[in-house]
Amino acid sequence: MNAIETNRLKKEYRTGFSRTRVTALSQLDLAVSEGEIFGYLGPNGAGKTTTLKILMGLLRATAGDARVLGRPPGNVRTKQLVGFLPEQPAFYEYLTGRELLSFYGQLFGIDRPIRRDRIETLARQLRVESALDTQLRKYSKGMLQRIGLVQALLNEPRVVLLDEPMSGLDPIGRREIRDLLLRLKSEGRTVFFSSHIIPDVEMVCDRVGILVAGRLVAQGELERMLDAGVATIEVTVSRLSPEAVAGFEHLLVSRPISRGERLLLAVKDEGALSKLLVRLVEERAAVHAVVPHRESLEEYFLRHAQSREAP
Amino acid sequence: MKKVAAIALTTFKEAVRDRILYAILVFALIMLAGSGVLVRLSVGGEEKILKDLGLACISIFGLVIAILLGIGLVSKEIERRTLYTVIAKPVSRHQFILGKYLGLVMTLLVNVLVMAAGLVGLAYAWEGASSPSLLLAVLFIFLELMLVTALALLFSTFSSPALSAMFTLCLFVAGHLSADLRLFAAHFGGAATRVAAEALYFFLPNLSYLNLKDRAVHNLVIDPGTTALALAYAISYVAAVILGAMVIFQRREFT
Amino acid sequence: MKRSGLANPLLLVASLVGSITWAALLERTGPRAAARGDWLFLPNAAQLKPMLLGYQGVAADLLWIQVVQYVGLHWQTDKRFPQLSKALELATSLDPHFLEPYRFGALYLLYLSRDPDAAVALLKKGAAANPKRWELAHDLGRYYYLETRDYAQALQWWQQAAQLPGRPDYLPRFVARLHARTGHADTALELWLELYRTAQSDYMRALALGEIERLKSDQGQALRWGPGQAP
Repeated sequence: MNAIETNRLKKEYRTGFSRTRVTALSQLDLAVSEGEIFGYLGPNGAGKTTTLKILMGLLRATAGDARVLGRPPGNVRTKQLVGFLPEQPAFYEYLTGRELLSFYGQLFGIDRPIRRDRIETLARQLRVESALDTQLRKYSKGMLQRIGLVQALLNEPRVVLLDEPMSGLDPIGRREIRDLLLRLKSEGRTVFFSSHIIPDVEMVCDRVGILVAGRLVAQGELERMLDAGVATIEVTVSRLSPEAVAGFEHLLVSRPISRGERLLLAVKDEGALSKLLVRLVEERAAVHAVVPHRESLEEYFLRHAQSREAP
Repeated sequence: MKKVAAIALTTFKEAVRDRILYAILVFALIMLAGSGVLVRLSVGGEEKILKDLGLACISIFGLVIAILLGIGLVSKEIERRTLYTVIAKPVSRHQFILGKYLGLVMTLLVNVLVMAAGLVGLAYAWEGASSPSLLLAVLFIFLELMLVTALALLFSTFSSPALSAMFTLCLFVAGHLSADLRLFAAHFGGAATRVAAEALYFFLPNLSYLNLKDRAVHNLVIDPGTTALALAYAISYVAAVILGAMVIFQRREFT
Repeated sequence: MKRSGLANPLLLVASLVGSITWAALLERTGPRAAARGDWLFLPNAAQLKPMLLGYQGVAADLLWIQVVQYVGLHWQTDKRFPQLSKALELATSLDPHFLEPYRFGALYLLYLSRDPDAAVALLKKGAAANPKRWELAHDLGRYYYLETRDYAQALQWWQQAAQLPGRPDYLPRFVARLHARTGHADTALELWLELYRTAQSDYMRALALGEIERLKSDQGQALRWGPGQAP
């Protein structure tokens, strides 16, 4: 059983006076296995939050199917096993952190001694324990994010859904969250999080989904996606005349870039590389470096995002 | 039920720590004291006037508090998105509404008790005693306020805080006017208008049933049978409104 | 920076002083509308009641307080009370069980406005609305006895009052005397003494004192005041 699954999920809104139809999600076929970290990428407004809300039962799908741990969204038994952190969370301002977490603990049905323990432990792990007895209206954005993570993990969930968990955190904080996500995975939990910060996703995710304008343009294992992406091999040379370059331009994937005295040439694959090297030796050029360059997730993302942008 | 209690308690804590409530309460107590002063301008009937003004204070300020509490309930929570993390927990939407309502009623009760204590103190200072019918009148004011809070809650499940406040206030006015509206329709309308008016009369909350102020103030006999009926009316109307709120909230989406 | 630091407090003081000055001037230009008695613009009770949303008791109270100010003010100035009747009518219609407007209102109408018909009508309205209260029947009996000397009517109203709970002890005595057709002067004296004792305003007290002195001198008695009777 997949931890999270959607089948041709569609969400439409009617907005404004004229009730124009806006499609937020269409033909969404997501599949997240248990125990993996899944990164849900997409530009702002792509529909990531909408997806998460549907999975949590905050919104209803217009068409299609969604399942979390095999049951439809909003199911009370499922929610017992799921942790959720919304984007830019807001909490009851006059409660203290401890009171808030105790409240959530009660909603999870956790008994008081265990509740107290877990609150202390998680707060310590996420470095908010000093603020537990302060009213939430005094929390900074970062602290709100942390306490939000604590409440998402309070019930030792099987599946954790996080909407932009890194938002509002400085690089140190972001690293801590990345470590947290990896630890959660090691505990056998499933993590599904959305983000538009690519390096974070790249560093922790097993699988990735890219959402653009409500459509899933790519989904799969990160390594495989990037491997299948455009790869180039960069060769740094010098002592080449322009005429000589013109002679093997057909082997290159892009125009040579000059860096002072040196020239950067890019070829598509090993076959082209071999031919190029032969020519370079013939021309008596100096070869300084040969570096295989795999497309980064960012480049991959930009490529797919741009291809869909045109209406 | 434990979850409902948890929601109720949290709602109570959050509401009771809101400074605005204190400000209103302090203002109400000042007005109560002021009534004690105003009474001295009268010739005769001071006791009656004091009770009248005192009950009116509790009623009016209670109304303000009830509306504020009710709209702060769902409308404000949706607006500020504090709702999301709660709905995401293993708690049904019905439990949420019920817990919220009970928490608000607790808050309202505390406020009314404080104001009632002020009134009883004032009555003691004036005549050295206070009648039980006065407390009964306060109880029925509280029932009326429970109804108003329920209505505010109902409206806030589907409209913004400002609109909810307005709708609630309108219904409050309509609730007091319902008898007159019915008479008006009987005089001036055709058969269709009369039927519609009758339907409306029973459908709208008839707040004059719950108005014991005049009887308490004149120490008139309060018939236990009618009182019991009025109590039953209040409770069943409140139940209907809350159930309506639950139904609407069940279907509500949070964009 | 020092300039702006000084300017604000000065402006504040100036505007406060200004407001107080204007207010003082306004006060001098005439008594407030309530004391003047602008009640004619108010609709009748039936129209007003729905607008009050269940607070008609409070409205009656506020009206009554205004009537008290009105009477006090006009007694000191022009001794004319054109709007008294309308105000009392409104107050008693809004809260029919509030006795003071009937009782004191009738006294004002009778002795200050010199409008006995209005006074009697008011008392009868009160008696009809409050059949179990002795006060209104008592006041009606007193009116007929002291003013019109219609002893038959006085007897009828006092007999009614004498059977109601809480009635004063002298009522059965008056009824007995009326039946025996004697002791009028004593009855009248007792009534005026009671009016003197319960008077809430200087003019009522002065009026009652005048009547008491007249009765006592009529009887040829020296003005000896018993315990609890001294003014």
